[in-house]
Amino acid sequence: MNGKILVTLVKMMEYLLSNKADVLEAVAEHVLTLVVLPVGMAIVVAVPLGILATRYALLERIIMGIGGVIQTIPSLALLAIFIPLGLGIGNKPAVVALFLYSWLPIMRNTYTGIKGISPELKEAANGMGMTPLQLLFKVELPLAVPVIMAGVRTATVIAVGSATLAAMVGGGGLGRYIVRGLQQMRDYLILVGAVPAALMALAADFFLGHLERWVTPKGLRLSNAEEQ
Amino acid sequence: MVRFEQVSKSYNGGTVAVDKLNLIIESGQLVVLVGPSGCGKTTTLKMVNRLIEPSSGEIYIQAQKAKDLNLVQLRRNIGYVIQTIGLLPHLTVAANIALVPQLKGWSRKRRQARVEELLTMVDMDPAVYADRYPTQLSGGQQQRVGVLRALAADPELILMDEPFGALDPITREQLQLELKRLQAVLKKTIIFVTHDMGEAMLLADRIVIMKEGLVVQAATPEEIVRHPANDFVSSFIGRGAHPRAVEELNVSDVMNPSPVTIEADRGLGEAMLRMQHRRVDSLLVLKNGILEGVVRARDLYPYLLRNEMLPVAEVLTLAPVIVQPEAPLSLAAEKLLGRNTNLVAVVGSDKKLKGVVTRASLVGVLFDSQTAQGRKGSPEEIVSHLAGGARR
Repeated sequence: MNGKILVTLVKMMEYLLSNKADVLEAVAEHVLTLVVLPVGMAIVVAVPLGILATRYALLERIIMGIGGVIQTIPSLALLAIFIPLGLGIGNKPAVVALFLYSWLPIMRNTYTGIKGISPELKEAANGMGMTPLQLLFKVELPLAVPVIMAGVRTATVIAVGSATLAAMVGGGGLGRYIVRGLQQMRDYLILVGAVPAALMALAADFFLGHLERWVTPKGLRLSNAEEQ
Repeated sequence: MVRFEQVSKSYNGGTVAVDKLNLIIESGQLVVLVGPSGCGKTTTLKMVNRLIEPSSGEIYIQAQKAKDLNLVQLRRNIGYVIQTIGLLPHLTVAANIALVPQLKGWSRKRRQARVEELLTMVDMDPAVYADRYPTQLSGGQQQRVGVLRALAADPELILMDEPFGALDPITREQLQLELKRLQAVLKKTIIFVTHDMGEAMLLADRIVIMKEGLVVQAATPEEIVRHPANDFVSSFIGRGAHPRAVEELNVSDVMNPSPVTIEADRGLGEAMLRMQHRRVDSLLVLKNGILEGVVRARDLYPYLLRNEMLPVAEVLTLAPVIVQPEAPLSLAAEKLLGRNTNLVAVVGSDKKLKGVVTRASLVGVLFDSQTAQGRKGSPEEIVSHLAGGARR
């Protein structure tokens, strides 16, 4: 291994150990404020919107259009744009921007998850005398849950990554170290932010993958196993 | 009782699915709506539980207009079985069966008792099946559960939309017989849609034959067979629109054009297997499409026991009885009866096998000509008449 990289890694470990409290605070901020909060808000908004979109074709076109536009805006631009729009510098523009990013995959998956249920199954449920609400909660949502969870997983992984940019607008989190490291040209400081952020993205992907399987109704897990 | 009064359904494009339908379905009867696809039978069915609303006319259930009833209540009081089965894959067998009772607010205990009672009725052990998921069942078991689900809340009226259409023939027959057995006990009012006339004949108390949104004939199976209303009904029940007199028929009209055959160089074991699968006791042995002979099951046994590796060509014994496809039917009949053989092979002038005539092939012909021509006499008399005619 290149000696210089080794030195950088040792310096990173030294920094981590001597600034434990600081780094942990940044990790907590990264996770709670920049991932859990915006993704949580996105779930609350996107799942009902996704359900409504399956009911009204016009609404579906409008929301999907808006979502598509948001997803196309570069993340740094999206983060920065809320500063002049009245949110100032700090957590707020970062949370809003990350919320906007997380929202589309969840809403799109809610929509496709419900739309993917066979019309015959829904007709059978209707024919047995389910009310629209019973159809939603007893049939549509349980069957769509795996797909919705996959959307949450995508949104979370994206949020963990994009959150490192939040420091550019004063949003805190692990990005702080990366920005400072870049400014001061200290490689080990960049790694102090980048390595935990990367590990967190992998961990989030791993755990949410398991959660996805866990929330999948047993009857569906069996049929998936058979297909494979 | 379900009554259709001048019921029509047309769509925006102007297509008329059902045209001024008048129909009375008596309580306790199993009525089969049958017809080619697009005849309006499924639309008719779905108008009863209002998955499709009629464009005009009235449907009465007992004495009440269906459209005046609360939609959800109406559906909970009507059993519904569909072709694609439609079990909820995330629920267990028990939960699927108990769905309507649950919607109706039955207690857990009552639901559980009902599930056990129903599963036992179709010989599915509740201890084994209640907690399984639909994907863990075979197609036939799934549709049994589908039928049980419709019966669960003990509705008076049950709608079945081609319920056995997606099953393999053997399972289908089993379920048909089970339904017949259940219905004999339960005496529900069942409206059953199918395009399979055989199924209709087997199950129905009354058959309603539909075509292009209209009822062509509504009668008991026996009446329909004996007095088809028109050529459409005749051909639909597989009788041929204009049965000809027996004397005018020739061999190719009657023969089975796809007999069970085997190539001469195949082995004895394969021959045995094929007989088993196709449920026949003899095979026609071919070499490049030309008939070599017949091999019978009882000729094979000794060789199979001695474990000899021979091709069927080595063991075929019988010189088959042969007629030409253009020969009059009476000739084939005479050969069948006179020589006391099970089958007569039909071989063309190019020496290739065209088909076979068996005693079974004669039955349908006799029936047709007998009823259509108003001919007097038993089948035996006609057969001997036929055979005698050939001898003369």
